Amino acid sequence: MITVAILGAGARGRNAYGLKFSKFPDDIKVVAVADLDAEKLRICGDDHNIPENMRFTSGEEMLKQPKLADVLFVCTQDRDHFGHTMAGLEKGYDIVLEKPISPSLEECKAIAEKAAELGRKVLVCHVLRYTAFYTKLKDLIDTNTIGELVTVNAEEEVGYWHQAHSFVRGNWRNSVESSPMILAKCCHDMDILLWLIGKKCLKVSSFGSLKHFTADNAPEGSADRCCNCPEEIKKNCIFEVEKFYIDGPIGIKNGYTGWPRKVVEGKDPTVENVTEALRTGPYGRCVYKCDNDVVDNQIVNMRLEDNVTVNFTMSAFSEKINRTIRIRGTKGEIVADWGSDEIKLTVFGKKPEIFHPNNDASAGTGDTGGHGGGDMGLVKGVISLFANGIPSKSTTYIDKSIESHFVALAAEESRLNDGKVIDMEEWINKF
Amino acid sequence: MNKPITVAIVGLGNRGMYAYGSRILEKNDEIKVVAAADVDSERLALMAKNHNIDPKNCFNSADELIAQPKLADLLFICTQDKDHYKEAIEALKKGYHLILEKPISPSLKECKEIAQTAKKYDRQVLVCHVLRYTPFYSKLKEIVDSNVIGDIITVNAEECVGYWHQAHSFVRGNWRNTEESAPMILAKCCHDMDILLWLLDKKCVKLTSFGSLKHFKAEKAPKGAADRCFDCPADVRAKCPYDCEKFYLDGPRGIKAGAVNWPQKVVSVAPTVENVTEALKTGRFGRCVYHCDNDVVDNQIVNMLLEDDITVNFTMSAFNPTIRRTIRIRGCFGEILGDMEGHTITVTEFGKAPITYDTQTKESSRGGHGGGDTGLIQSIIDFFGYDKTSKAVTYIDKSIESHFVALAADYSRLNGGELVDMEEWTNRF
Repeated sequence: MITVAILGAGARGRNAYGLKFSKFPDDIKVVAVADLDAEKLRICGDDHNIPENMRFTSGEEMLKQPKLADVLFVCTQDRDHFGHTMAGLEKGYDIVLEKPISPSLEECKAIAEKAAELGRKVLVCHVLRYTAFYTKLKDLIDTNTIGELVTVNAEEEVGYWHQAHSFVRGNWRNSVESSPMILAKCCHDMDILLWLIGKKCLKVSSFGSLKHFTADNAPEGSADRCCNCPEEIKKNCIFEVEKFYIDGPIGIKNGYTGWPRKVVEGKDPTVENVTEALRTGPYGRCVYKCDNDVVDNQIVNMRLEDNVTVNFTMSAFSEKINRTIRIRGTKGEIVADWGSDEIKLTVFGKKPEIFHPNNDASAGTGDTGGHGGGDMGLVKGVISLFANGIPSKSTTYIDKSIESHFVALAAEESRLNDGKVIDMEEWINKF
Repeated sequence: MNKPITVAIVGLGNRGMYAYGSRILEKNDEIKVVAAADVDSERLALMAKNHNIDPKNCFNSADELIAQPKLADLLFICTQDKDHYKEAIEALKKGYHLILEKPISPSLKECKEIAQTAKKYDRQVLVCHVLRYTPFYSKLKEIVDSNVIGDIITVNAEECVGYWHQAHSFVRGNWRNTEESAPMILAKCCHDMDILLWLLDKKCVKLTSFGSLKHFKAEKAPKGAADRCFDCPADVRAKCPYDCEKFYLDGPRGIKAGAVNWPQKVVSVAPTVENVTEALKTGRFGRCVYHCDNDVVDNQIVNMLLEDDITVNFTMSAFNPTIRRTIRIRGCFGEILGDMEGHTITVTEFGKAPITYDTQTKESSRGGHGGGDTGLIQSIIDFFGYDKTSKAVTYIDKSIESHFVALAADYSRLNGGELVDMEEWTNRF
């Protein structure tokens, strides 16, 4: 049995991880929680029957105490990770850290160095690694089914409404407040690519911009909030909020009450309180008139060791939230689509073979929600590592996880410098 | 049209003789070959017979044909890449309009000069970017231009060469060596560069590229491999997907399965099981893919920034089970997914149900660049015979852009992925 303290009881801390711990009462127990928001603190505290004296109204408050648990989950906002993690390490916690580690590479490095100095483990929540889908891809590559890897084309399709929700109106819209998009959203992808291929990145170049969600692109006559916008403009605007949250793909009228519940902080969403939140809150704003600055499209070219080439596209503009990957090796090809849970393997000269990892995984829990089962996979990985001392093959520590952050921020540096090529060794040594 | 458009063709290889020659023959009321030239007298005789060409209009070299007074309305130049320049300049001076096989020339200076000469003599030069004329890309262009997905934001395109096609053309065959022909990104992908620029109708502003010849070289040869497949130990051959017998004799595209066109015709002029076997035993297509004199890349990726901040990334890969092109176009209000091999285009306007178009026609299934070869001939008839311009037709000053982009990508690749500013690059030549 291991004990856990949760710092930050939002969508990740409370829902993605916290609630899953309850399924393993013999292995893991939440004994302390901290959050700035009283309502979230109450809900998460009640989830785990945490006594009042172990509920804290800030991370600082919690970290002032003596060590309260074996493992500390740091699930606060990106820019707070550094302070919380460093203080946690000093207190003697092993740490499970929500990604990104930090938007500052100096801070990423400092955390890694501190962990090494104190002999503590820091696990970064690269949850995609723990999914049946990516685990299967990793197996196929590692067993050499397609020979030596040559080139990889990967796409992160954010989804048009998800972009509008999280990266135009929501928490990750502004790179100063959170992180650049390529880090906030795509450090998952960078991590997966480096982990799957198993090689270091040597050079990076990137182009991208915030092309669409700007004032220039607002339809003529549009208002600052959807509820104030003329009917005929609303009707033609695919980003109009009622279409999303009331009637549309994630609409409350369609019974959609899970993520993104942020629209109505902490409360159970109803048609009434969602409508009210959209009238007054951040999620009712016109997508062309927000204080957003993160990109809506970015492409990255990478050269890895042994001349493996990788290109990556991040696009806001897709119907679905999806990831696709095409991996070419000297003896075959793998074409995989996350959304349809399909991996097509073709060994040259042979018939293609199709896998559906989530169906095929007979040992699977059937839980494919939350990053395609990755959140559950991570929780199991944490239990296995800290309770039983057995790391899963998806588990790596911060010294390895940090690479994806260096690559993501090198891509950002390149993008901001018109696509200049970044030499990774030189880049890493700058910090 | 009172009388058919008259045509002279120089270079009677696979393109001049079959891709264009045979299709012109099907439209003889409107277009007719009246003169031809090739260094191979057997091919010349066959062409003369098929098209009923007057013997005095048949020549043993392109230079000789062009030296005559103007013999036809149009001249098709289908010779080797490096010969295009000289022939094109001379022919323009003679007053021909030109139909020029791609690439225009592997030298950007020469490309520019051809364009300038065409302008000076007020002649048209149409470059054979045949993909533009396919039902697949015509439909894509129509969809993009209809603005149904709004402003284009980002495009991801792939040219999947196919493992055996790479081995055939770019390891063992005609386009294996940069010095002898052109860099892969020009020889093979100037099609793709042209299509991308044409579809998006924007100039490329900057690019970077990585790529290499990663696999088809001596150090990757299996232990014990011989220089030729027929001399290779059976256990090594059995495991090698590139063994020539697997492609040309036994495989799904093999002569034993009845496949007698490309690529069998390239291996042997008269492809039979015996002739192909003999050619593989002694000729270049029987060489071990790890022991050839090839140097062109087997993978390359290109990142491009176009006007209005449109981003494009492009992958060329040798390592695919089949030959295909795919494209994913993202606009601010929808997306288009295209798969040339399946002939399908799926358009999704965000929030609505997807619509899938099947662009397969009799012509596109017949081959010849998915119907593009036929489409090009039809457009030439429309343009020169009826003064009608198809959407696909552009002149050399536009076609040349794809060459500048392709060779800038090659430059970037050879210089560690260096960022190339296209304006600066174009002014260098």
